[in-house]
Amino acid sequence: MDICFVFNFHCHKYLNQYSFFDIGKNRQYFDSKLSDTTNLKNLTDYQLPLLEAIEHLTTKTNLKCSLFFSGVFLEVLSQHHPEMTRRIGKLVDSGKIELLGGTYYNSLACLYSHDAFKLDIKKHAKALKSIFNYKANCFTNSENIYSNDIGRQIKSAGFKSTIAPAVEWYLGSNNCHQIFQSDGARKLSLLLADCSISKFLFDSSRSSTFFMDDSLKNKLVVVQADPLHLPKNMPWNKILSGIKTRKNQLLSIEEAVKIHQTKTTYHIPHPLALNCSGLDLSYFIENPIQKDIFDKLKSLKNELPSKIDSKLQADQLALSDSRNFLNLSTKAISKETTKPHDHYLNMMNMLTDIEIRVS
Amino acid sequence: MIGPGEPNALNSGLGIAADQIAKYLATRTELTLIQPYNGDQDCPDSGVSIRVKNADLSKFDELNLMSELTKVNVRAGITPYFYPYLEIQNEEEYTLEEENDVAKKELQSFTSQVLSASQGIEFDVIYAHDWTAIPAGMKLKEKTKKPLVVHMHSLDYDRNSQLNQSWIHGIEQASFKESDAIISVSDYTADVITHNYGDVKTSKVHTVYNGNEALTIPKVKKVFKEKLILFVGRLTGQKGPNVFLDIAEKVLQKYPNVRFVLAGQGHLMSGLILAVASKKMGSKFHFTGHIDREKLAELYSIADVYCMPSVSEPFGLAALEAAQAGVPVVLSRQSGAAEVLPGALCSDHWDVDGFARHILAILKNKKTQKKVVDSNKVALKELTWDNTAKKILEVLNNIK
Repeated sequence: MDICFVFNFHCHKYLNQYSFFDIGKNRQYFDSKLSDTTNLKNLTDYQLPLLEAIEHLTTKTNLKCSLFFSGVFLEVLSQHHPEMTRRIGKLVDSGKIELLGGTYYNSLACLYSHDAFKLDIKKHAKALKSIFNYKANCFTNSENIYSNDIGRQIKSAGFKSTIAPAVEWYLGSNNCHQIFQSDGARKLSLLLADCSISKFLFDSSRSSTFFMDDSLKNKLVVVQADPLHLPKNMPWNKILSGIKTRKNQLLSIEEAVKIHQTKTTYHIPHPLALNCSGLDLSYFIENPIQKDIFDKLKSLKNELPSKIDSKLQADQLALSDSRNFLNLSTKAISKETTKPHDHYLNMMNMLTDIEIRVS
Repeated sequence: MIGPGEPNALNSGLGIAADQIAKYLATRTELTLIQPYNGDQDCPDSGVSIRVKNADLSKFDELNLMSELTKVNVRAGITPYFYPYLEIQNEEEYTLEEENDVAKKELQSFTSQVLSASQGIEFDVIYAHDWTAIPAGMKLKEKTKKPLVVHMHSLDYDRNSQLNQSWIHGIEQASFKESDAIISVSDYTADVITHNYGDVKTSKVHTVYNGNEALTIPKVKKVFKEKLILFVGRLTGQKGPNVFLDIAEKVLQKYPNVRFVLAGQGHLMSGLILAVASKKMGSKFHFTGHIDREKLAELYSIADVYCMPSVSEPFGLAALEAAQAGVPVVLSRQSGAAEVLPGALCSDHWDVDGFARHILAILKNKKTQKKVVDSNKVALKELTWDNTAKKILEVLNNIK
């Protein structure tokens, strides 16, 4: 079995309370104090320890992995731990870790505007280039959102492969543990993330049994995880010895694409998502308040300036962070204290403010 | 006088009215005001009688008006707009009966505290505002044989469209029978009292309209290029915010260059937000939640139309405030404000098309807009709290 480990690092920009009376008053949308406190805590408790473990294990053992750092995460890391940013740069230079391209703000731009999606990708690529002097070949979209059309956009942004959601009714008789060709863009390879695996692979009581599963022999398994949802004490010893004993190998995404060539296509006519926590698109744009915000973003797309560094663009892309849509979900999975309806009012007032700034 | 408490978010228009009336009556009578105080409000603690006339008043110009006012605040958790079936949705741990029991106990506690606070006070008339003050007023009348005047600012009939004749309705009905005079805030309310509360003698019902204290309207730069249609009130069935949504939909079809602002809070808020989003009108709607008087004045200064589609509105002080601020008003015919604002364009609360037509007429025609504003301003000159209180005093003086 060949295994690709993919870890997604993102920090969220928390929203301010933003009332009707704040519209047009040049008030900040993001609560920098809350964002700083929460993101620093997440960084200290979960993300840094994982990065340190990866640094240690890639140096001392055969661990290989692919990492996605959102632009906002890189901002936070560079601000609070510039030393770690430099050390990651060294690992990248040595080829021990692979960096993935993606969206700077972890936005849902791909669902409402080609141009906004392009800008979000460009801004992320620019950050990787300036911080690590790195150009990513592989892509991972926010929440793994994918469709034939999105595949075309990813390909035209210069990527050779992307991670896509494994959805049974589109897979048909195909197994998800292989590489597919995109049906939207020729020569774009698709790796399907199996969100069910990370739950027990990283669970110390169950991780050993994963490697005993013969059904995965000669298959490619993409294990994707968000450090914020991983246990603090990862069973790295068990995982690495499991890989060794069963003659499995760890690959970067780029290596996997080279080894597992295929002609099987994966046809996804409409956008689908299945992120590493198992959340599909219904958690992000299903209910009326999510759809209304989404429509508002859509209506703004043509009015926004196309400059990548425009403050307006940055604000609207940061507002379309998938996490903000998750906070509008009424499926009660968010830990946010703000209720979905309050969150909706805040966001709609902010988008109205953007509308006024544009006009 | 048994009042609803200092003006606050929980007693809204009733709090303002009782406060204004008390200020005037205190200049013409020896007034003792006993009122509930829930501990959160910015007013003195319970059981303390503040004899203002004994305090150092030299620094305060307006306190000469209050020189005969004694306030007694008693701790009580009762609010005039308590409706258990409205609150229950957010507090799933309580049943409807439990919520009712809590309110009844609070009312009982307030009533007995009023009775003990009134011991030793000499008075000629008992003057009670709305249902929370009524049981205490009736007990006092029973005990002292003094005449009782009840002042109805809002009725169970107005607030309670879902329950027929609740226990609060029962309290009101009993008082209409026992009281010596009933003051209603409008002919509309007088009509509701005489037609929906059993056998009430019309001769003892006196309509005294509320006054209007002009808000200071700030000069605010409007950030929207669109016209603003304003709704102010609790987001409950009585105030018709759902009707406002239907009206908005109609207006938008004919006049897209418009925004709608709902100022207020209430149990319908979540449902209204969902409805607005479902109708894809979210970018045209703004919910402010509860706002203070300063923010309200700001809203009046930028509003182009004030719309009050209440299902049953005894008076509607906010309509007067809007008119005072020079905002053209479109009102429900089922309201007291419609009786005193001759320029207001009115529709029955169920007539969504009628409301939309009136709003569009104002938006599209400056002459109509001016006519509405000007004729209301003339009428408002007569609607002062002084005039209101004089009429109340007449009712109090004429009790046999």
